[in-house]
Amino acid sequence: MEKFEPVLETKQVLQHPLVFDRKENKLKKLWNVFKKDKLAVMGLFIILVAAAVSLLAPIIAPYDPNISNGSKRLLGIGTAGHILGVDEQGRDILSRLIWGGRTSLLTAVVPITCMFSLSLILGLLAGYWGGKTGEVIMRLLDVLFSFPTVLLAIVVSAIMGAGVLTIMVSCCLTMLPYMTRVVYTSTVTEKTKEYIEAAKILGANKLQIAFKEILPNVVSDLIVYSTSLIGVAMVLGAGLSFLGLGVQPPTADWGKMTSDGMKVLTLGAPHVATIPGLIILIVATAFNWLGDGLRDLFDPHKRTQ
Amino acid sequence: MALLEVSNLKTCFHTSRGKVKAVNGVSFSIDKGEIMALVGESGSGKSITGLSILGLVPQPNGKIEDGKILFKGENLVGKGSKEYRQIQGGEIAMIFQNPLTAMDPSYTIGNQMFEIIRSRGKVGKKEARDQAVKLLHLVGIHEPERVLSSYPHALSGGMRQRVMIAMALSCKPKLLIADEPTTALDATIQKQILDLLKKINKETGTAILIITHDFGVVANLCDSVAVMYAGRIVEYGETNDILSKPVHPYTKGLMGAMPEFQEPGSKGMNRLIQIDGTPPDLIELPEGCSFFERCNFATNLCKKAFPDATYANDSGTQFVYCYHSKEVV
Amino acid sequence: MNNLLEIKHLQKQFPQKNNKLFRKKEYFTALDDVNLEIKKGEILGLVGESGSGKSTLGRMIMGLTSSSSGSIKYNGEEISQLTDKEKIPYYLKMQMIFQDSTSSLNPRKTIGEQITAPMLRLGVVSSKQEAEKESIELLKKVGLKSEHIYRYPHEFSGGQRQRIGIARALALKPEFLVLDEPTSALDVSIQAQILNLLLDIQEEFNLTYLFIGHNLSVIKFFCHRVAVLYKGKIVEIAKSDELYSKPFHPISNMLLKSVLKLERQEESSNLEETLESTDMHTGCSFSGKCNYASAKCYESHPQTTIQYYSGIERSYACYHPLNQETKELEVVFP
Repeated sequence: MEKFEPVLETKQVLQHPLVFDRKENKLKKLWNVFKKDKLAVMGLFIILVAAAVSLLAPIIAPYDPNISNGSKRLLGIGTAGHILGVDEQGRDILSRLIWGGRTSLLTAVVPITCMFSLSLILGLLAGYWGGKTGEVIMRLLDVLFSFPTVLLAIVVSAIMGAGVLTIMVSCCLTMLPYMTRVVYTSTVTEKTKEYIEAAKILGANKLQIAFKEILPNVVSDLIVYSTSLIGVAMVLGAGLSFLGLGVQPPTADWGKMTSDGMKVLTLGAPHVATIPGLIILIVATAFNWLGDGLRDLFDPHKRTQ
Repeated sequence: MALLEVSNLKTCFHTSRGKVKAVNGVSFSIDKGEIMALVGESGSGKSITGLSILGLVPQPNGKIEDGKILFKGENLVGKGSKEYRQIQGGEIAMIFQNPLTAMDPSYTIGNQMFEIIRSRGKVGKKEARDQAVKLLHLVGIHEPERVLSSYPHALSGGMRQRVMIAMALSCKPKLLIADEPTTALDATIQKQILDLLKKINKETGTAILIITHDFGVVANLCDSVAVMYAGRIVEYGETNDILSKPVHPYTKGLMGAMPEFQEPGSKGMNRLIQIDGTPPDLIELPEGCSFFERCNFATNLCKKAFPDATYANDSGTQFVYCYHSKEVV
Repeated sequence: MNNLLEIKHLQKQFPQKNNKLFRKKEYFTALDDVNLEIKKGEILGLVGESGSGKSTLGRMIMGLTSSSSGSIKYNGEEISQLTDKEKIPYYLKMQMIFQDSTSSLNPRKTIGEQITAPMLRLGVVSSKQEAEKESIELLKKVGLKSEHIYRYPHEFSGGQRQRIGIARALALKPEFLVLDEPTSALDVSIQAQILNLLLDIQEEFNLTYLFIGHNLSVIKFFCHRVAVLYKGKIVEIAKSDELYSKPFHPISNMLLKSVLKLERQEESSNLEETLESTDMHTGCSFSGKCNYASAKCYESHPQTTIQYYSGIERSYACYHPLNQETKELEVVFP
């Protein structure tokens, strides 16, 4: 009988494997994976559109968002000249939406982005170092936790005066403890795993372990959590503006438009509040989709499927 | 009539990559009071065979696609979950490799045992306790009262496995499926648990299906053994026959790979007999014999079709799925 | 002296958790007066039940757990009291293979990154290119392929991951490896592959191994000498085939009897198991379970006795050793 000869694998062996000098290629690869996640791509698209519209507000907004026209008030959707209608002060809702995106996106995205890296550093330090450093960091954050947001905002506005900056700073201070907690918790879990010990005996120092070994394993949790906080931050900003601590009238802001529209919700003009509310919902959802997509992007399990 | 008769069982998992044929046409039978072993490496389908018998194939991806499981003459395949619940933990019970994950950490052993005992018929509190104490005595626990009042985490691994066995025995099963019952235990405890299973088999007549990767377990406990590879049984026979004269190249390789199998006195420069390579991908199983890529005896015939069963001894109790079994010996 | 590693009177105590406010801290002794030498080029087995402290000893040698008292000398240099920074040069000489290959590899980094990073960090190689060339060589040496450097740990099987762990340890060119149950999570056939690979590497690089395990048949096959650990104390040290054929200590005997043979064995007598007894006595910790125990055993722990068999030493700590027909020379260790 003929003897079976095993065929050796003839997969091409790479001639010049250079893992590190392939940044460009890597980005392209990541995009190829990312674009398979339809929801994430849609989320990214919505966010980009919102950002572009906000940036181009002076050019594309049909009316001045702050000038009221006393003769036209509370017009409905589809009115000639005012596609989305007019609010109770006679201002064009579409123009206010376009301009409002600037404040809304700014007050929500900037604080979260800033706090992203700060919470990552604090959480890793507190979680991995533990001991006194960790205790001090976490207890200080607990103090922040215990302040009601409004009180915090009042203090901040007392120092800096009301305005967009006040909203951003208060938002930072409110979100930081939550985000740090997430990093801290995942770090404490990761820290007990054996690969940390392996890194130790492979000559890594504490900083290298925290930022090179643990960080890639906790960052995806934080991405998901912080993108879900963006919607919360928008609503928070609106609340502060409502109290007069943030955006001053007549400046447009999605959150503020929603809360102002509440007054006429039952007076036959529900669209004044629901349109900006819907926009917040859509943008917040888009950020969540993007967050989920990014998490999968950082997960080699999903990436190699 | 055999207690359990499995014929041509096929269990598959649907994944994004394709259909994983975890169990691919397995047939065997267990008589009353018999101890049988399913031996194989991880991924050979031995655990899934056990779960299929109990109707516990992981959902929603897993499905029994074909075959029959006759328990006391009644086909279990296709039964609803309600009908199955009478059998699960009733006439067929199962013990797992890691008893800690099979127990509720926030209840005492006593609470968990009483609940099981009382769920199987109208038993008073006092009576349930008496039964639990009796069961714990049966599994060789000295101080049942102390064990009953402790939480699972407070017990040692061997003790937990004993409690697990006691729980499984509480409803007087006809068949006990033990999935790697001693793998997580120390060698000293392992021997005790195996002896305990043997004792239970003798005293209560419960048939036992042991799922293991260790031929040492097989040798010490089982009457018959089926060797599985890539979802199929490749060799079946009585323990003594298989251990003294394995005729499938895989069985032979597996036994040769055990350090226990080394000749006494061989030392130092020697190496273990190893089976090179890894098991095949269960999604793209080769058409012929699934072992042919790793087999020293393989010919082109092996590549073409999976071999039929042939008897390996005269009495017809050992059979093998291999074209070249005569050359192996 | 050709001892690579010398451990003297090593002790480790872990503080017991207790929630009571005004109570003296209690300690659990994981290792108690451990004395052990490992010769250059030797494979020493360390065997014991779970909870005997065998992994703790391995981790203490690697500096992952601090010692309470006693000394560990590597090539004559004391290493048990070093700071993290001072330990780093020793990691170029000693490395460790972990039991659980899944959790000992970082799931978010490619194999290439994980092998090259330590080499660059500790200056084993001078450039990234060199590190990569080296890591590909290593992967081939342990039976993997060069394109595997781009893969992530979850794309490998358990045996392959253990090979990666070996390659990663070898990258730093160590002379001493602690193998912490490297095959206990693997299938029999894969275990054979890994054990053979470890033996090949040992011969090629003239390495010294400390093999921690609980399976005596693996230890017998793999190791030159064996130390038996029981509840933190070393109770017997012998050449592995001598221990196998003629155990002196009842604990070694018990461990040997528990090895499952491929022939049918007579049933063991002990079918019952008791809860851990909480009452402590000063004597031998095995005396409660030992068939040979006398009153003396409960009173004090036996000292280590060293015997010489045609020049090869064998030590044990027991008042009633087994298989004692050929006494040549006996020294009682203080």
